Amino acid sequence: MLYNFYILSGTGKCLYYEEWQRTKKVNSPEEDQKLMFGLMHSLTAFVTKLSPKPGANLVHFTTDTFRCHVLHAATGHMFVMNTDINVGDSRDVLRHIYSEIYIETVVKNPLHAKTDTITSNSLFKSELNAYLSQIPQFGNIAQPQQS
Amino acid sequence: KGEKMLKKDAGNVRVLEKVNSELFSLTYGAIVTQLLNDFDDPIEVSAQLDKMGYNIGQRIVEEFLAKSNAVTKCTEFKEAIVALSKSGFKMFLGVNAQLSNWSNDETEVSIVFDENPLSEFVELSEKHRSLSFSNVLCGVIRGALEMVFFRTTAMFVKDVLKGDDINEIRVVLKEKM
Repeated sequence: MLYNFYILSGTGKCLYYEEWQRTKKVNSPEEDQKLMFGLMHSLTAFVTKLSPKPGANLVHFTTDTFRCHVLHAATGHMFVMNTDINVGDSRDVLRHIYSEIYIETVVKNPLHAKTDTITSNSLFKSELNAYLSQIPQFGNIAQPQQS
Repeated sequence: KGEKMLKKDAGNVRVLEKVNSELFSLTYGAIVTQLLNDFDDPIEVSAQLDKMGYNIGQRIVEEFLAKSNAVTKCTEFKEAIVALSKSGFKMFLGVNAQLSNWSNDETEVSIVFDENPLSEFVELSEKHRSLSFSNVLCGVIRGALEMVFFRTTAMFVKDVLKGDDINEIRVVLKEKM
């Protein structure tokens, strides 16, 4: 099951957020996004310190209730996705979102400045949802939960 | 073949779109000519080209990272500039570029290439001697490297258009961000 998805810029701005299954609602989405950035930022720094070789990258971490998948692009952008713990290694999924959806619909749009947030009625959103709904282990994401 | 193509193979990997090289060089030439009309000062035109290149570089770098499967971070300047010269020039300009003249501390290097598709049909007249015709390339290099956290300067030190035997762009690392 797919819970939610963030695109965070290297400076901590949340460029895109969408949720599909998030049973526990947050009071302030802005704060939630900032916390996510903080978490990723410190985890990445820590992982780099722990790594026996230079250039370690965080791929995912797992708790007993959810799994958090990360793609750290060379430009500093972070693509973060939370799923249930039955979803396996999703590097390819995040990679596809970055190279085939984000670059094609956002970076190549000349009117989109690099610090702009991605609007919720954009081509990006529809392509993202079309792609994610093809992935069986994410379950039915066609109707985002309303309650 | 002039038409733009977008191929998808069985593995659903996109092959880079190709555009006719004459169309490309003539379009670029038209832009430079228009800038010369607008600004009347070759130095200012070179600066504008650099600025345009910078904006292109900031976007093109992501495409490069995705297509060359090097999505994750470059830690060293050397690593980044090798990728840029070896794969980047090939991917976007279709030319082979070499690196030479590394400075001892590895913060300065020259990108050297014989062919320059931008200036294929160009002859510089006397009054445009100070114009750096292909300055957009310097901007692209600067913009692309800055997106992966290397602040640099880039400028033509040798240009076939000006009678040199090769094209040489000197890239200097200013700061690792």
